[in-house]
Amino acid sequence: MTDEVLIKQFLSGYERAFDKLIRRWQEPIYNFCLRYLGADDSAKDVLQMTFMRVYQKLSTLEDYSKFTTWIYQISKNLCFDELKKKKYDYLSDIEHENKTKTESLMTEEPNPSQISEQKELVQVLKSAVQSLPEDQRLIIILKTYHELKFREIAEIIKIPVSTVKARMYNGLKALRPILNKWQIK
Amino acid sequence: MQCKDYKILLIENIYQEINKEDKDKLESHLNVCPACRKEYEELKSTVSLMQEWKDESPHENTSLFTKAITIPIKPKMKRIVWKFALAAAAVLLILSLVNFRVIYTQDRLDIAFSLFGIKDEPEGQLFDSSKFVQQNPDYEVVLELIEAANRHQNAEIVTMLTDFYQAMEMKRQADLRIISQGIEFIRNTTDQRLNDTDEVIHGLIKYTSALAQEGVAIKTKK
Repeated sequence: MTDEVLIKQFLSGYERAFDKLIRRWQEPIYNFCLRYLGADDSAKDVLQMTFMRVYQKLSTLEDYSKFTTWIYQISKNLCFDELKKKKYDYLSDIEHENKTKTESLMTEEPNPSQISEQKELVQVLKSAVQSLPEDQRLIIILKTYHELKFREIAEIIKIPVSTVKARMYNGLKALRPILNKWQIK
Repeated sequence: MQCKDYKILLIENIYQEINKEDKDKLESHLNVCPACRKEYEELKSTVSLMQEWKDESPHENTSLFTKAITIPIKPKMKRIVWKFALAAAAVLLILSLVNFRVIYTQDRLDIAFSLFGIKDEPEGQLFDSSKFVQQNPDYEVVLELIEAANRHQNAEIVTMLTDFYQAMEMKRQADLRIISQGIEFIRNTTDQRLNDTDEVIHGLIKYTSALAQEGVAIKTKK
């Protein structure tokens, strides 16, 4: 059953259709928030707020076929608010932490036995993604893990498609030296 | 076109969002430019590597971020912690008996004991709904659902009352018709009887006056 059908059912009074939408979307949205915010608790909070916002505003969605970009847009805005809300403590900590992480990732001597484990590889990837500037990180996450088209990402962020592609290129280029340093190829 | 002009095309090609004309152009360039070819392979490799970061379930209570700061506790240390916790709990329980209070009012029994003294809670402060809503955003959704259910129930009650009112009104109209028919019957009967009575009275008057005239006539003859 498509999202469009579930939305129509929900808006015509069948509340359980919304449960199905939640079950379908909770994992992608949670992982988007987790990767973008880098913190499990904040990701869960934003996940809940996203579905609350969807519940309240679904009747205002004019084109049901644009639900995917719409829900990511809501989630992105809430993530942005979450970062802004904690700007002076959380964001500065994260940025400081990211800077430290990048510095440590770039200066620390890699230990081949450490990165042999999958968990360690993922940890390096996480730190590398978190070290990217916010605008590049957002695009890399949406493109790599949510398989959205460049056109859809441009709609979500409300920037030109060419800018999305340029930021994607710069983001991937910035990741390469970190991964090279850790002999990840 | 220079090498820097192919950057966007490299990205478009990796994600297969490139048109035929640009793809041909890019491939021709990659065949003759080792630097761009190397960059293309590196970008592809980075994209492929990124896929190793798999999705996590929101139901898992911890992520790798929090797992990283979890301090493992050894079994022996665990036993010491437990012993200490039990001893501390016992001491606190004994100390708390210093402030022990039992209150029985009409239908409620309150037992309280505390280490730091018992404070009477002001009535009406036990549950701060606005604070609860702030702390539990889901609660608003639940409230909305309850409100929707209430609205639905109210609408049903209104419909039921309207039906009941209409039925009562029809019954009242039928009763009024019966009453008016009864009144009409009584009026007709009364009129009939009054007419009959009138006729009898007229007859009597006629008879009496006839008798009177006859009496005058007899008297006159005499």
